Amino acid sequence: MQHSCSRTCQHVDETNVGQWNLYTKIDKYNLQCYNEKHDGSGKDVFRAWDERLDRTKVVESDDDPELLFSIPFNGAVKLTGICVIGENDPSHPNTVKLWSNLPEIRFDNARGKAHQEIPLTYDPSGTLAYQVNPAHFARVTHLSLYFPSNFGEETTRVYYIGLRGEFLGEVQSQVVIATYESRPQLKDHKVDDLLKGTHEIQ
Amino acid sequence: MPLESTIICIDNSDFMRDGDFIPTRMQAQQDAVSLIFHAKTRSNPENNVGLLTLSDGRVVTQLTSDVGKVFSKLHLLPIEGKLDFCKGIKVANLALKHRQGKNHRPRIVVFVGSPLEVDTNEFTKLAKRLKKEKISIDIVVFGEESSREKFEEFITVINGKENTNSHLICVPSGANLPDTLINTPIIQSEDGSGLPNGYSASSFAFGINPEDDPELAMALRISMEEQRRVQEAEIGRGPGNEGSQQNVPQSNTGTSSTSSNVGTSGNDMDVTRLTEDEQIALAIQMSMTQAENTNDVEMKEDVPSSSNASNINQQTSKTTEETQQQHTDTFAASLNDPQFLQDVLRDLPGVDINSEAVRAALEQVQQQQKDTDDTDKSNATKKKKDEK
Repeated sequence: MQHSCSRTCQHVDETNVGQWNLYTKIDKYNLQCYNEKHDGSGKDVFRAWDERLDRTKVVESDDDPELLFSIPFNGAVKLTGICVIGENDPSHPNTVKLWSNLPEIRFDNARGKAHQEIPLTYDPSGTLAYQVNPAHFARVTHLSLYFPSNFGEETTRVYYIGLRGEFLGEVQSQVVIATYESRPQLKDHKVDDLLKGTHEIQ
Repeated sequence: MPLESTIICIDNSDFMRDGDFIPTRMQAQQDAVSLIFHAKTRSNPENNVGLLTLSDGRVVTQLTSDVGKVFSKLHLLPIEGKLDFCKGIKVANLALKHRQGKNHRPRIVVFVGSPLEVDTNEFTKLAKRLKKEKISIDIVVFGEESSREKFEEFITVINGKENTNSHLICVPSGANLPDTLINTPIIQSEDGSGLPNGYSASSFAFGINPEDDPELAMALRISMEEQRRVQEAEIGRGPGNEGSQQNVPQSNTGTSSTSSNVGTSGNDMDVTRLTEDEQIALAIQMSMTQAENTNDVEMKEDVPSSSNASNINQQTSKTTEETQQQHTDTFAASLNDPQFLQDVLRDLPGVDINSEAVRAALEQVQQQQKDTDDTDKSNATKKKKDEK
């Protein structure tokens, strides 16, 4: 994507950083697609950039145009861009709402304000990449995508969702190795200044 | 074994006072709930279960894996009011939405034992909503036939075209609710039975599946037969028993240590009450002392009482062990008794009493019996001479 400076500048467009390979960092086992017509089809739309034009893998919504994806990652990622490929007809979604790090988003609380709301247009070949606002998406462990409506069809069809960004590393697991003291001994905790009012042992 | 959070909705309307399920419908529900709880926690210890009453849509227990919390509230549930299905399901939905285990698959198990009064539109909307949220639901209708079609429709809507995660189970009046549930998909997971071992609702003898552990099943069966025979024999030779118990068997010292193990289990050979270790010790002991003890049984009746005086001290300490030894001796003797073996084998599944292999084995036992009898007699006379 080009930025507004002249051709010879050395600027690096910060928001274009990253590869379209965040799909590899998705926790596929816990990935959930709500209101999909065929169970499990939601997982297929997250694949390699080279396979984005594969028309055999599609997720279709069931009875109404809403689709919601709950995407946990295997660590923390920085999300910079999103690409949505649909059909070249009214079943293409017309909006996407994004939330980061809110795994409890479902249809009822998705109606409210999102971290970012992007209006979409027809993109049957994956030529459009929408910028993601770095404010909320600098460190994402869980992403929620909500497609509330489309351009007029009864159901929504999505062929591919691409996520661009960088992998920041694994998140520390909740299990902690702790050492317990039955009675704390001051000599085990070296404190330089005994006259301090409050001690913080970290 | 997927992680699951289950909310169990109990019907506590006035219809639960009915006694067509023994002892009352409410009791039957409570048993069924405990069965489901154990099945869920067995299949994955991190599974959570919560409780909810349908007459007022009140959450009795939050989602937890602690059995105590669920059971303490379960048995204190009041029977009151009328069933409000939609409200209950909506509350269950809300409780599941706020569950701690975000990765758990949500599930609702509903018990319905009273007539359903519901607006059809609202009912279908509810089904669609649950489907959208990917919540599976299992409905157990017991004692009530009137609302069956409505629930069938409900389940069809939730399942959609391909899904089979939601089930409807109808239990007729008078049936045993927990037992009926064992064979349903509620308890059975995809990879086989989620039923805990030794659960009282099991229909197998001794509460243990013969397919899981055939040796154990055999040992238990033999023990029961033996117990029966010992009781019959004791009735027959009551007075003779006391005399032989006084005598110290010569070759007892080596085996008394193992028999003291058995002593801890008490005088009756109820093997099902022994722990596994003790059962194994018993089995080992049986095989070790088989030949020896046919000796001892013969000898006890032959050795004269003149040896009593020198052995009184030893006797008092060993009396309890001896009684156990006595039991195990007679038990081992029974094992060698071909008639007894025939009886046992006849009862075993999959054994044809008339087959070649079985006949050959029985003949061999009879042969052994004869040999030991002969050697016993010569030994007995020898040892009599030594004693004197």
